[in-house]
Amino acid sequence: MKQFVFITVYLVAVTLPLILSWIVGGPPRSFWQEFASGLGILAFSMILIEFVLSGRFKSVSNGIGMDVTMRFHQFMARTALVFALLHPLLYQATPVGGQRPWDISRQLTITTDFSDLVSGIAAYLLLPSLVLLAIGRTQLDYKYETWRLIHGVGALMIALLLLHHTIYAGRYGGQAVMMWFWLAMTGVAVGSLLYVYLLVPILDKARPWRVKTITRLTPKQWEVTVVPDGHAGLSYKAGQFVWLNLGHSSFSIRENPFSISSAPAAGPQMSFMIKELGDFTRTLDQIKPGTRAYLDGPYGHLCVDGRTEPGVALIAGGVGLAPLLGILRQLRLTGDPRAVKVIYGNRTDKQIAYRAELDAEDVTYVLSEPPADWCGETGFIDGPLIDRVFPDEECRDWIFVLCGPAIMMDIVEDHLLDRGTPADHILSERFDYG
Amino acid sequence: MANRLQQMSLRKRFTLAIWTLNAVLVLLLLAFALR
Repeated sequence: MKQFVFITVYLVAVTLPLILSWIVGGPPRSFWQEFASGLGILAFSMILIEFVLSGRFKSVSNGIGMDVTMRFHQFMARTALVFALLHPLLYQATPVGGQRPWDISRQLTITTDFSDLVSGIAAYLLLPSLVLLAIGRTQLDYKYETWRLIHGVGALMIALLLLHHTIYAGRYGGQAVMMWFWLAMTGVAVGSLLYVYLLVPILDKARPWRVKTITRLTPKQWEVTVVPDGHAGLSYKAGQFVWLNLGHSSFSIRENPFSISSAPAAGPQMSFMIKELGDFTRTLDQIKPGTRAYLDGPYGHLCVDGRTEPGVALIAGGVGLAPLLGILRQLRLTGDPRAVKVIYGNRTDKQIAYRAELDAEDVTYVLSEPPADWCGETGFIDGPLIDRVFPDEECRDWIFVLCGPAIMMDIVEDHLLDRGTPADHILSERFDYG
Repeated sequence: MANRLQQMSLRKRFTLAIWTLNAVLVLLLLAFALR
């Protein structure tokens, strides 16, 4: 239901400029001219709405998940790119030239005034670059922070260039109603950037945290625990995540999303299980206790609070254990009567974190590269393993919480659905948005 | 139909939503251009 509301609101927001242009109207033109203008209008409104789909607005992604919002952002950016690239090509056979005294509002001709077109041409070149850089981010292997900066500044430039192009070269954008509408929409888009990069850091600055401990859990996994510094801490639900900034100004873009592995019931200090994967995580050994930290959040919908299923199945791959550990700890600390089973997959036994704590639970460890003396499950978390751990009634009645590699979550979700688990009993969150 | 939708995996529902949305946008564009 929430997904339907999300899509509907998106559709209305994206098509509003097109519908307004329709109402504003003008003398009739050929199909291809109108189609080309429509493509430009839709592409611009989609690009502006991309700003609020950028993964930092709880009100936007509430209920559908930040990961789904991010993937939606990525897919709709591709559609906007196609629309934008087609937009100028379809004006073929339209009379062109400078301003004509008999067509001052560009109802029947396309302007060739360079000052009106240059912004559109610049945006036309920038947009594919921005999308391609985002799609190829992992392959190009440049710093995450660099990418964020390029993406944010590039998107801002494209929005402003398109605003100029729409107002000065557009048939509809030149009309007063549409001009004010586009200004308002661009204002919301730019405002969303200011909110994320200015307002949130100002608010975060007043609520600093300090690193209490930093512990190596396994050769490539760490636990970072932070405590509030002069405030009561953060109100969150087990299974959620925050954007964590360690050792930088609250205005720094050097922040990364990490799941909270501690439980709210344990008090205001918060723990994160972090795997060495990227630029920041490879420098974790340089972080010292006492380092200042800033947290933005909480985000995420991986929560079992208030759910009525009789049992909770926690299925984790690698560092995907982090949010599930938070859920498990919360269930234990609050004396929750629900049954719990954990499946925890890794490549080798050296990668198993929190083993002593997990051994006290009904846990199934799975290793894809087990040592010779391994007596547990081997291979990957797949359908047959799910069948061995969960009988029919548990598949039917329990809630399943999945976090791990995308391929694992796809296989497990498909298998659970085949076995009759209702789709709304399966909660998952992805951190690889590709 | 509603039941089938509800029992789809998240990624299948996502893919369906994206393609439906794109189709609706193109139809609206056509309606705009043909008006």
